[in-house]
Amino acid sequence: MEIKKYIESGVLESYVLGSASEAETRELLQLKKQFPEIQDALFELETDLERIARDMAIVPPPGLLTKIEDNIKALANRPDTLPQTKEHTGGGKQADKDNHFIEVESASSHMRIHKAWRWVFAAVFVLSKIFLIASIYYYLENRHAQAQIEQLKTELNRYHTPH
Amino acid sequence: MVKQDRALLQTKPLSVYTLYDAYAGMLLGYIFEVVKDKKLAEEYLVRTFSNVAKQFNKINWDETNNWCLLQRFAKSELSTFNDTSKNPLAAVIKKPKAEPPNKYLDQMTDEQRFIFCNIYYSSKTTAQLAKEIGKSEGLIKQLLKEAFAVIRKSNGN
Repeated sequence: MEIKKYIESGVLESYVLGSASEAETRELLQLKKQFPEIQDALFELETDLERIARDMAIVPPPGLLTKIEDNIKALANRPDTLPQTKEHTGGGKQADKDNHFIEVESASSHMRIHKAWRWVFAAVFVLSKIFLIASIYYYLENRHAQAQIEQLKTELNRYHTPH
Repeated sequence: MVKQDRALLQTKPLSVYTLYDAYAGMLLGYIFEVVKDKKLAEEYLVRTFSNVAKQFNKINWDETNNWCLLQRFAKSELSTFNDTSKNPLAAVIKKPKAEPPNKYLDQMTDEQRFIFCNIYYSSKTTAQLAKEIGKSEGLIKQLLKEAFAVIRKSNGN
């Protein structure tokens, strides 16, 4: 197969828009693995699509994510509805068994906590600073006192020493 | 450069939250273009992301472009909306727009725009569209290719 001709045929554009037939999709995914030219051409088309979408983006209102989280909980027991795509890995029965629970943030290194905690963190931060300043102050005071004791001892020794 | 970009995109650990942060706005914009109603678009976005979360572990996210996958999820949710028999609004959407909403569509010819919009927004297959307008599938794909070339040209690439 002539790859350049295949890329020029418009099948890649049709695929990225999800309008390719099952047979075309199957063939494309197979060829994608074999030919880096196809992989690169697909990546560029996907980038083009992202660019259009980014230009037409609308900022979602606050609270929509919470709605989604609530909806996920409600949907947890309903049957799955995967979109038609050949890119999904089946995983077999074992994968189905393992997916009884929805791991929403499986790979993320971030965590979400309640906003009330920020006051606790602020208080801990302020207290730690107070303790740090206090400890430095008492350390310096202590050093000063020690120096005075040493000085007094020296003076006492001088008085007690017979001339 | 292309490979560099790809590597950069793959460095961040993926979760529904990272997907939401990166693509919710784009997806909302896309859905809004289809349904033309902000509240309804938000509802579809909630449904789309809920379904994404539900299927998250079953999808090989490394193999596919995340945006394209999310768009397929949205299209799947919008399929009932796009079905003319169930939703009278869909008939209006399927017609080419009198005033294209962005710089990309503006620069396309009527034919290119008609094909692009019918596939991009109304989720028609090339075969379906070819049958509907009585043209060959090859021509539909060619027009689609030309539409993408216009998009790329609009960006100065």
